[in-house]
Amino acid sequence: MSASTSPTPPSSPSAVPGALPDSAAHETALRRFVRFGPLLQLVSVVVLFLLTALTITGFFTKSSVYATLVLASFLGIAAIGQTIVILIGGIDLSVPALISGANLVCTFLSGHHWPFGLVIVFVLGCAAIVGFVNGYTVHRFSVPPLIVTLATGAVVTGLTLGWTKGGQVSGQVPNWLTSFSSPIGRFFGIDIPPIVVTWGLIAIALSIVLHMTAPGRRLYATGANERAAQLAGVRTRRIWVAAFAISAVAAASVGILLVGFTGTGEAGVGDPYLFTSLAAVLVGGTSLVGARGDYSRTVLGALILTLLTTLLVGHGAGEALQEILFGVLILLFVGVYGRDQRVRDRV
Amino acid sequence: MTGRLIAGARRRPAGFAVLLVIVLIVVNTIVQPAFASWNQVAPTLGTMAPFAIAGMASTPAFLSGGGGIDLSVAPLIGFINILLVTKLFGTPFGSPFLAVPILLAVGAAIGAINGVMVARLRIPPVIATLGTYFVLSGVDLDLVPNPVTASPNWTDHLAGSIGPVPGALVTIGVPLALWYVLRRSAFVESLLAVGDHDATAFSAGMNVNAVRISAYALGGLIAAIGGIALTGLVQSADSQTFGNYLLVALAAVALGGANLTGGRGGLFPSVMGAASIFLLENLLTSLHTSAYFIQVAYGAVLFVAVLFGARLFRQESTA
Amino acid sequence: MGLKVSDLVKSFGTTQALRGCSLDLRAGEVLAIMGENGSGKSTLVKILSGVHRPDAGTITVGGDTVPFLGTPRDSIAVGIATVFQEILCVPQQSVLTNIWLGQDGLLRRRVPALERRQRAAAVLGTLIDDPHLDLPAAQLPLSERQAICVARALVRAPRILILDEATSALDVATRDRLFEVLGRLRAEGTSVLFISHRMDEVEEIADRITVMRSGEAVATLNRGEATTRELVALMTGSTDVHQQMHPTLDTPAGGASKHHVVLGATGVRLRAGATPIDAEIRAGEMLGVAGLEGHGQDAFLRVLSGVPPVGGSVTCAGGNGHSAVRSPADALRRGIAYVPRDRRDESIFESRSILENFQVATLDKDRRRGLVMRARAERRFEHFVHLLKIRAGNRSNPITSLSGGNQQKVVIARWLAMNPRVLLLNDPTRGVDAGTKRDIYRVLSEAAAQGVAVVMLSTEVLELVELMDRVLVFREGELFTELSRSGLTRSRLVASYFGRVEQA
Repeated sequence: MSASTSPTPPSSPSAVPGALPDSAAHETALRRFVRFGPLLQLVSVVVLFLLTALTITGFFTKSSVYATLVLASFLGIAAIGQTIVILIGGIDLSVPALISGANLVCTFLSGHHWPFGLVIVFVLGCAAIVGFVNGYTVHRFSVPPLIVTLATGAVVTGLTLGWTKGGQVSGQVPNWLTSFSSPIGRFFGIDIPPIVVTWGLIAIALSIVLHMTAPGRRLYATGANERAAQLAGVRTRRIWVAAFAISAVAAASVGILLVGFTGTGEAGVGDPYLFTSLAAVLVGGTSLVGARGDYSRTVLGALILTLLTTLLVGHGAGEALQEILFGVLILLFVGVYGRDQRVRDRV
Repeated sequence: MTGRLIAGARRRPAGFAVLLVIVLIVVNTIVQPAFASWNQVAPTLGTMAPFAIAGMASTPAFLSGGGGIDLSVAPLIGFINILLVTKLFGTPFGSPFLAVPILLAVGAAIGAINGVMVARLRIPPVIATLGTYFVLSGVDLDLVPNPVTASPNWTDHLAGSIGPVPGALVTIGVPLALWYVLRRSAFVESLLAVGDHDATAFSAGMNVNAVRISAYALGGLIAAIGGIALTGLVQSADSQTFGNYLLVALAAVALGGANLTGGRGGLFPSVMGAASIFLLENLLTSLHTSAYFIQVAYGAVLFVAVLFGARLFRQESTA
Repeated sequence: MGLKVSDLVKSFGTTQALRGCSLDLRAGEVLAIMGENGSGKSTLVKILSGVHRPDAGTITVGGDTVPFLGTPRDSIAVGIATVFQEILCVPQQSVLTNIWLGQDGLLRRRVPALERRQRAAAVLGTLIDDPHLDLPAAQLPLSERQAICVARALVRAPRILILDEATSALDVATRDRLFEVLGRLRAEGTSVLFISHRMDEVEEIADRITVMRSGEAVATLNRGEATTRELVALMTGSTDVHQQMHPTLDTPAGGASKHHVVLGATGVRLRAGATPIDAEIRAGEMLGVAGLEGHGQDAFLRVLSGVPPVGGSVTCAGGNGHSAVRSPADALRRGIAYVPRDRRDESIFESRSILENFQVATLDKDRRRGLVMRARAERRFEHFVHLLKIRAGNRSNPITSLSGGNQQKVVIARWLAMNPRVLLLNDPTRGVDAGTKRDIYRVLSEAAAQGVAVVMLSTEVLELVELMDRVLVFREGELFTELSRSGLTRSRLVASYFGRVEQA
């Protein structure tokens, strides 16, 4: 775009401003990554890991690293939907309510001797309905997604707490669920926590879906320019509804997994995810406008936040300092990646 | 019928909320006759004040348009409350004549930082104020990891009575009076114009950035008043109490009939919005409804209010 | 108190909007600026009003060089008031607010309330009868909203008044009253820069006329010095220069009438009360749609693309006779491709790669076992890279790494790739360089030769004259005339834009 790439002075009317120099066509994968990839995030993960390993005694053991990865997995899975929703220009604040709600209802129903498979189907089905309502309402009535999801989140919280008598639940969860999200769990005999492996598989699958399938491409098109996407035949409302539905189901899944992790249902277990799921996406470098970013960035964002938390906790810093740093990180990363258009360009 | 209702509401967007408030007062009184007794008025208003002020504090950001929103109002209210209880009380700065100006300046300055991030740095308002939300919540938690009870102090009157006058009339009245003054000045008109269509305002020579920054600063200032009112009510400092103000504040603005995309609304409608939510909660409580159902009601009210608002402003904003 | 502009230069990305524009506005005169769409008039206005900053050049007001018009506020401060082409109102606010917009400080009101009302009523009263100062602007008809914008400029009592197409939305009565006001202002020494596409208005009000072409002021004439024909010649430029830029194309294979009708408009109304439009579009023909900006050609093209018209219908040939096109999605399914006008807002996915921008409308063609195969897309794209001579570097680079012309080629490739039966293009050559234009013309002609019905809206007279089998000219929301190949000359076409029928 700049004049320097043009072989003739820009004032010449016959100037044919070319594309990038031809050498750009043969750019190596490495150089492309440096220019467009999440280099900053990757470096941050490595630096944070080294810092943690060097300054906190006992971190560099299998169990500690696995424990950190398990925590990152919860955050990463909770942020699946947030990533997709942000890619199309939305935001989903019903995530914590769905995590807590699913967590409670799951425990509650298994306490009432529902078959666990049915419990999962029921909980995820309800979540999908909530997501559908979110996506449809936002798109059909063009109302701010922030407020709509905040509202549905409050309804979900109220209903699930009311139903489970204030979250006083106790139920027996299957052993496989407990070991699934346990740091000392084994995945088909391999000595890695199953939830970490699952997260990795999800990340790969989601990357393939986003980048290599038609629905994924249409999702990006919708986020990059909804009007152009419509003109190119993309049914953008379906995309919005699907994105919020996936977000809700992913959040509910975290709620169910957390039952296994903590062994019981707990009101408010999803609360920390309200803004951390958002922070993972934003720190990863996915921007709130223009469909820039993907899930691999969120994976890095989740690792950064979890490592940072581990590091801070290890040094005796409280939740307070964590939150402050999260805020600063978000502002720094968004200041770099996603800024709005200037007023004078809209006259 | 719906068409007539919409048309009427479009002329007076706050009308719906005012009507709701009147109806709810009547119903509350029927259910619980003590509700209307004079000695109940001051405490009731005192309990409502932080909600109403949180609603007012969230309003200017919405009015300024461009996706404007201020998520940091709730932790800012908490921050002011904590600052007053833990840092000012018991020092020479604890007297109202020093404490109030200091706190208002702090609130306005934090709001102005939000405004600069939004207007000058062009960070989307949701993100900018979310960042502030995190930072402030962290600071709040750092200052009071555990709730701290306040020593006896002057704010007590604000939740009760100052002579015969309910103290809440002061805390709610000051932002309203300020807004009234600003309406007489050029500010509110400019704010609504910027929120309505910033490109037009810019082309007419308006300093769009200055107006937006001032709007966020005003929100911060009102939030500081909210923090003082909250202190009067709870007489303690707690980093957890402000949590539910986020939802209530947004719902109050939406229910008050402000255009959430900017250009239309005011502080009084937001007070009415907050009052209707408060009265609804009061009614449900006195009917022994569970706290959980009250939360469902919050969500439902917010949902309906935002759809109602979208219906209300659709034609005008596309015109 | 005059205004002098010397050697203004301004470019947006790779598009050069002004290339050394100079003009001289004398005290107490009305100077009209005329020029085709895209000649740089609006950019000039936006620089003078402080919306855009020039890359180079000087502006002198009343003999003093104005150092820096950084914002509209600076421009207003030196005594310039501008009425923009778009109707810029704050819709939910009152008429009174709209008129005094931008005059106050952050807190301080510069004018007392009573005086505000009186002066607003007086100024608006010179343009329309019984102005309602307290109604929200959105509730007023278009003409009155435009009058508000004019009143906003007048109430500032400017030394220099700029009217950019300000009359286009005004009804006749209001326009006449505006001209009376302009006459009075001129007598008082105010200078007026008057930009209009309407020849009759310019003849009525202007003292002198400056003609702009391709970002430069090419001539200034006194009133009555030039005929319409000469003005048109100045605006379009001399034939020789342009002939080099636009190579004459082989006339597309004639006898289009032999082909069958693929798309038909029946009784289409673009606005209530307009004369209905009937038109037939045949396979293999190249049909131009044209007119002055905003006279209905754009709306007509959108109607063909499936957007429901105010009245009437569009039918498309199908397996069993013609049936109505219900929506843009329906049109797309039936092979009607629409290349939108605004590349940035309606075509390009800025954050996505070149290849993704190409394949978005034809993703299904690259699918194998559910996955979108990159190799297939690359193969398909290669065909168009050669066909359109796209200079695209690495296909994975963001589309924004390309020049505007190459971006446009990718967009056209996107739509050609779906093998459309009808290809609708909304000003596809706007803001692209000569070489790109040539490539686009060639590809469109080839498509037509293969039986695609090509319908193209163009703001450029020459490409219509040289490329099209026939041209539909729109005026005030109605079909004004149809010029067919044999009678299609530049002067006849431009004259028809201005509502005149010239004999061949």
